[in-house]
Amino acid sequence: MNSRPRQIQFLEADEVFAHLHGRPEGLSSVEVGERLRHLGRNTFEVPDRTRWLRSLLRQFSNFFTILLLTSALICFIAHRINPGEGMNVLGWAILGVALLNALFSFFQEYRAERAMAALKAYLPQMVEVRRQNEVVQVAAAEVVPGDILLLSEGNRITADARVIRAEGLLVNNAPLTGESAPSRLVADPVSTRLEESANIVFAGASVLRGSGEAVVFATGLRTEFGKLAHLSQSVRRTDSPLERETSRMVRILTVIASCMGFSFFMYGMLIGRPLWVNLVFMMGIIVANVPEGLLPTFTLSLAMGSLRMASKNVLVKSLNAVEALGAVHVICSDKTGTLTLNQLSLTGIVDPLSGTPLPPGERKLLLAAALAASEVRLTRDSWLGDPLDREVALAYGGLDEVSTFLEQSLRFFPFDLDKKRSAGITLLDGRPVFAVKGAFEALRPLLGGVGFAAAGGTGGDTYQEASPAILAKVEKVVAAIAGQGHRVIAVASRALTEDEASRTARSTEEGGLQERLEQSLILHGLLVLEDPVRPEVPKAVAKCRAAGIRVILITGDHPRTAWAVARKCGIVSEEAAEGGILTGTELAGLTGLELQEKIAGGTGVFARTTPDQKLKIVAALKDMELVVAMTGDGVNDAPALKAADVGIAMGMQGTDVARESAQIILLDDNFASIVDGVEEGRTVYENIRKFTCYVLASNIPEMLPYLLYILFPVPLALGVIHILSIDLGTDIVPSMGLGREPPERDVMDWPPRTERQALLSPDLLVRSYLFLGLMEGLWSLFLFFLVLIEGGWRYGMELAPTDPVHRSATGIALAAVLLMQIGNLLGRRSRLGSGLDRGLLANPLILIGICIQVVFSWAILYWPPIQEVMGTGPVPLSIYGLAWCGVVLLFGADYLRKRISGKTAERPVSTSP
Amino acid sequence: MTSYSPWTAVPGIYLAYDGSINADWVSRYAIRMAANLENRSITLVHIPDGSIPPEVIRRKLHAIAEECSSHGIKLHCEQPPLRHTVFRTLLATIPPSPDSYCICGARITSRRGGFLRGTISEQLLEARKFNVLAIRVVMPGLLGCPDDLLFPLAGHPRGFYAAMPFLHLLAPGIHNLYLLRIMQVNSLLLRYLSRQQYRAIYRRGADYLHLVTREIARENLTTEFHVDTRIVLAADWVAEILIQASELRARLILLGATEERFPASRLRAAKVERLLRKTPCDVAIYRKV
Repeated sequence: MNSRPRQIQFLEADEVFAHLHGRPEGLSSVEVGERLRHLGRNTFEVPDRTRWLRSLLRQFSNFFTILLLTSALICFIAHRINPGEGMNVLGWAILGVALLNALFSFFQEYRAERAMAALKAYLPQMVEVRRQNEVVQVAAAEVVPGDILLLSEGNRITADARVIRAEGLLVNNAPLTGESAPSRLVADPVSTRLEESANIVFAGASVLRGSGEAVVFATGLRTEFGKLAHLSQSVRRTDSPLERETSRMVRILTVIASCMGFSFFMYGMLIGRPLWVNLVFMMGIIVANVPEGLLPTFTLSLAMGSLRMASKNVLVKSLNAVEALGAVHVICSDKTGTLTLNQLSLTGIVDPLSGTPLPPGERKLLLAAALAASEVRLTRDSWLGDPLDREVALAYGGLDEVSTFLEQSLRFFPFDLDKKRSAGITLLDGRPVFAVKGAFEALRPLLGGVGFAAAGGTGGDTYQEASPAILAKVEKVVAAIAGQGHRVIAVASRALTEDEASRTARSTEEGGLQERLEQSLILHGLLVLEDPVRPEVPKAVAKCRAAGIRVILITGDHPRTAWAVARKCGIVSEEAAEGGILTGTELAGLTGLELQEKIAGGTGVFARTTPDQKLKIVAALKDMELVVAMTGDGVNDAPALKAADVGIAMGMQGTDVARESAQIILLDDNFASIVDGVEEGRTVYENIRKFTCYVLASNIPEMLPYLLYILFPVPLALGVIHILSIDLGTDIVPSMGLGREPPERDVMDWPPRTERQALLSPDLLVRSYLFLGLMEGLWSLFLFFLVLIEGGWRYGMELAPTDPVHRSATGIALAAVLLMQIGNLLGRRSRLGSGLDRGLLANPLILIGICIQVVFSWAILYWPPIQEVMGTGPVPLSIYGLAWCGVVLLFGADYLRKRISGKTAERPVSTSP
Repeated sequence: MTSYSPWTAVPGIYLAYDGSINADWVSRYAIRMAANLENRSITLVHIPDGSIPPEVIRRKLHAIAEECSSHGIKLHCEQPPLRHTVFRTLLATIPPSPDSYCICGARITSRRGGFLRGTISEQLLEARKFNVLAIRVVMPGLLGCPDDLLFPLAGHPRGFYAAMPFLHLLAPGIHNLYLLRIMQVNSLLLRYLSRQQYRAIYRRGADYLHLVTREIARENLTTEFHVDTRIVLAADWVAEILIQASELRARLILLGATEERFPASRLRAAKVERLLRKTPCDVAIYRKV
């Protein structure tokens, strides 16, 4: 049967050409043309001419936009039937709001393109290739499979290619792997998977050192980078919880409005009213039911929330993310820099067998070996380089001492990601010494002993042979230190023979030479390093726990380190078993369902993961119907940031691609700021519920007059103009005021909301419509009929809208609604309290809103210009005083209801705002 | 992990070879598949139509023969004379049988927007005389060894029946098999699906994939690979396959040819063309007779 499959990485370098139908001298122009026609240009942008148009049209298929457009249409029809009432102006206003909303969403989508532009920066414009035995510069987009790329220091790679010649080739694969440490490339065959192969160079990588040649085998979207770019472009963020709830609310309101409107239209037709009268009333009922001002107020509230978040170092790019952050069930967080300070510090230098601190003499020798395997450069008064190397230099001594030591350095072999170690050759007491530092598991097979005999000749002549028992002992010490959340670096060295030293001095090769020298090393000790947990993080994690939010740690670090940090942060409890951790390898072997089971079973730490595995974790969490926030900083975090409900990029460490793909940027990279954002998000949602309840309440007094008018021979109390003056006029500022209310004290003590706590929940509907709304409706109608009757009207009598009695009655009905909305507004400010307890002056917008209601209620009754526009007239002051009684009536009854329901409520969030 | 047995029947693999570079790359798939069979042989059918010079064809056939030989595979070359059309000649040459597997390529370059539309491969798929696998190779570096396979399943009542033989042919090289069930929902409706509706549709997809997974697991074992399933609710199934292929880093998308008749088949063909054009990895369209 068949042997295990062989892909391009398995081949010898000289076999590669035959398999890709190329030649060592390069392709001909005919071959290039044929391949370009077949596979397309080496670019990851797929031309799509109608994309923006489709995107724009999609914004208009939003239910709320459709509803706003319908409302505008109704206004224009009303204007056509009954001109002179200013309905066309209102129609234009609503149309403007709808357009603004659609364009705003379109602009948000358009901004996602900037992530694409940021990705492009990782690819070169021009590349050097060999074609027909000549080295030519060609546009990167013209590169095809079979082309030979010439690689040299500083080059950016344009396509995935198989290396066929490598001379000290060191590349940075950070855009793909997220790993900043360089990878050494070879031309020899390897038997690993394609994406893990050391003889493959990937598009998006850059050459740090060395030179080489590689044969292209994948271009454009087929490169690993192309796939990343495709995902960054194609993964569509799902609707935010607020968007989902808003559309649900609009659907319900639309159904109510349409059904009522149509029913009364049919009723009117049946009882023989003229068609146009029925049409006007149908539209009136629909307009009364549609909260026209609600959507703009949502937007304003979210914008205000985003401003407040910005002051907490949470920069919001997409307004929906403001509330979505408040709805999260899970926060998936990186470790370095987010939970920790990203300040690596050397906290100990210990004996590898006992784990106890080394004596000063041996400590100095170990640091000398570690420094020989480090690369630092002196700036004016500090060291530049890798944080670990800097720490070693600082621990070794002062600037002069380290500078003198570095002058003795003969050779340096940079850190290799695959080898997980760096090395160097230096003169110690005039003798050449080869030193290595790196992960213990990487050094273990190279060790010949443990101790100090061969390091510099001054540490004594006793060292123990690296027997399996001794190595097991060292391993135990390493595991114990790692288990405390520390990073462990092993340091080893050996003296070189004269022959080795002279051959080394002559040699120009790197990889092979290092491998030859890496034998019989003596392990001197272990460097213990720590990246401290941010002091505010444990408290923030505890806050999440109290708020029912789960925190999951995803890191590329060692499982023990990850577990220790998770314990320090409080992500897992002190007594939790380590079963709650999954490594990247284990994760790769799990199906989506198995991963869901693991997460549901308590797995809260993912270690040794690659950034692309974040996408798998996000998918599993979303399949569990959880709202997920995900942090990320690397280029290849972009798809996961887009796939999550809330993508959070790091402002300080993050790449442009991550920042452009995220909805939220954390300006200080601090986990605690996310939790502050969650608190703000929850407050925004609660405030949205408050003003939704406030706004819906006025629908009933707007609608009741139509019902009475159609069912009984009575005059119409409020017309369309009056309804819109409330919905798009006086209700807007108070709603904005409610949107600015500070958080309730216990906002972070509630679990994330469930479906039952939807924006338009049954209890909110009942409260708005059947309690607050009904009270407003009955009181305003009572005053309406009081004025009519006092003015001489009797049941069944026809009354023209221009009749002074009718105008006065309409005026008081509208004034009563406006004034009772003040009582409603105050009550909405507090979930369980009266509302006055939150301080009237604490929120200026509330105060302004109240003033507007008062002034407008007075103006419609007593100021002729407004009377003229609104078709209203004056009433005696005593009647106006009765309208004011409605404020007290509604406010008092509402407070009483809160007191009663507050005692019986099981969950705080389900009680009324 | 699920494993596979050697194939009990002895199918014949016929490589419809037109001499293009895509055909050269497709030949690697044929060689890999033949290497999984007991008889280890391929019949290469080339109909000389004068579009490629005979010496070029001779050189290319020699290269294929050498590669077959390196894998211990017997290569039979047949170059029947052209009878009216290449399609008719192929039909006359390849025995119509459920045990015949015709491996062919998509068009080398999109002509009037079609990689498959109007090609001989499309005619072969529609002829339903033998099993057909039409491949578009965009990652020649895989050398016909796609280790991660993505099987988008349309929810056919016969389950995995039509796909199983092709899975058998490719199974020895697979590391990961991803079964994808896209539950198609109208785009407007998708935005307003309630949680309950979403769950119900998702569950239907999950049940279907559960059946398919069981069906695969019932096969006998020799090669082990990892099977994962994904259910996605989407309006645009092509876009979703492309996203999943990129996300899962699939190396080959295996898509069943439509069972529908005109005009639905035409609509689907346009979508398949989009998939072939934008694919991030190799694509194979299969039909079992």
